[in-house]
Amino acid sequence: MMYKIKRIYFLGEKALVVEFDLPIAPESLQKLLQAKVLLENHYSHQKAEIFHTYTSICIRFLDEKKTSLREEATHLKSLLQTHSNRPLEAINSTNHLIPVCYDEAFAPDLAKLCTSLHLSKNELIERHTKPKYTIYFLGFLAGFLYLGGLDESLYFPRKNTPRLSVPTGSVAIGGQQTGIYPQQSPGGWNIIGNCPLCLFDVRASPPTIYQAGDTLQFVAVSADEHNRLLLSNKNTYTSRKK
Amino acid sequence: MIKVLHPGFQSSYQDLGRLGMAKYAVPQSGVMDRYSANFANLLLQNPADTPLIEVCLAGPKLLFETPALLAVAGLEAQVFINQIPVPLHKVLSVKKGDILEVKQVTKGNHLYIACKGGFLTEKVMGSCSYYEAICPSTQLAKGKLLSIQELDASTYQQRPSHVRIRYAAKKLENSILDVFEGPEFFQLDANQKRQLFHQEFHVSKNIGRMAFQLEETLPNQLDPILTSPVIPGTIQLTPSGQLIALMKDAQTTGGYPRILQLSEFGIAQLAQKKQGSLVKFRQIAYF
Repeated sequence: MMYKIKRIYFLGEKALVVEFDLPIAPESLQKLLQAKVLLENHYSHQKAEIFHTYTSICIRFLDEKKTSLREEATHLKSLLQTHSNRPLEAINSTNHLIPVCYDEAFAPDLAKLCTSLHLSKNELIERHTKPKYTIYFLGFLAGFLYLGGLDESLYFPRKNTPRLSVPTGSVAIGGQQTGIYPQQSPGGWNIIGNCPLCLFDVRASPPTIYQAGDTLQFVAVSADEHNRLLLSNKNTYTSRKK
Repeated sequence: MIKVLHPGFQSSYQDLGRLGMAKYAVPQSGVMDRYSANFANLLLQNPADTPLIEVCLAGPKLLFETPALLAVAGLEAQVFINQIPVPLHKVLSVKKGDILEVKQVTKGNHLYIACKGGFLTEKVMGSCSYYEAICPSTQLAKGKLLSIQELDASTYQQRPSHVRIRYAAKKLENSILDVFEGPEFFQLDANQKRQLFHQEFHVSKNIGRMAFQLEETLPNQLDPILTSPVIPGTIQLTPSGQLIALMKDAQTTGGYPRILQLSEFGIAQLAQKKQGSLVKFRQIAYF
């Protein structure tokens, strides 16, 4: 199994990024996450921070001493090549259920999307709740999950003018992506529902249970159920249905 | 204890930031001008990551209910103890009942107030740095009580020993910012590259802890990029030609081309550029 490196570039004096030659797909994500584990182990004795996006892994060197990025890049290339042919060690993956209330009160853009996409409300909800979405990485806002797997028929462009404030838990569609706003923030995506779970807790360690490599499925719930979950301040959901 | 009589414009606790949290998409935060903040802590022989107060434009009025040793660092500001002007970049001794006031930050945007032993504050995700979504409690507010380390009484009676360091104001206020090529720099054509390094850019009014936007635009047809990592100091170029320098509270990922990367010192320099001031980029090479 080859780790095909597209390029390694630097970001300032103390950070480098390894960009892989990979398509955006769950299998590629597995490879990326395995490479990330390799790098995390390699740098475990050093003060370094590692995070990733679709096809890139960024390493920031946090200690005060000067880092030779060129030397690090050379080490990384040979490290990744050495491990290229080792058997795959599967990354643990959890499937999460995410309750969403799609009622009008929580879904200001749902009607508009139904009209534009020529779908009934039930059809839209069915298509949104059917897939097992892959969590690719966290970005944009603390705890915001970049999800893959949105049904093509639900693609819808971002709003021209973002809302100044989108409520916590808003479930939205923007372009070819869907996601959940873990906190109140400005937002340009189209809001189709709300999730009552506490997705990100700054005082918990780790602050979120939703990780890259996991999958999630949206489950439609009633407004009453949404309220019950909101009050219980949970971060996970177990469906009462069979 | 210190009582905040007036918080000033945007005074908050900061340290060197929330490192290791980018994987949760949590911004680094931390001091905007690391040079001045380090200087203030160093003068007091505090470790570099010691929490201090970051002041923006107009500063706080603080009543000291216990004595303290302070140091204030930045380009230039009107600082008073009991209405008497006091110098920056020197160890200051305050007694119980003294009132410290930072009226205006006259040069630059930020001023740092450090105290010996540091400010005692809660940390969230490893840092006391104020960031509304993560650590909302460390912004200064009227009536808030600030805790500091109680030091041995003799510490205040001694002449404070001077750490011999000189504040490099000229270097910090230099308008030339050192930058590296960004990962998408190669997509610019020769004319655009020339414009980038020959033009003087004005700092716009859209500046803050998340980003500093420049006034003049760089017209371009660059494609958006797949969401990629960004860090403080990354300079993005938008389709409409806006140059946006990401700062300490910026997001950790972005979809705009990253054409330049500020050096660490460049971030501190830019952080201290008032709106309307001029900057120019100078390319430096990676070694």
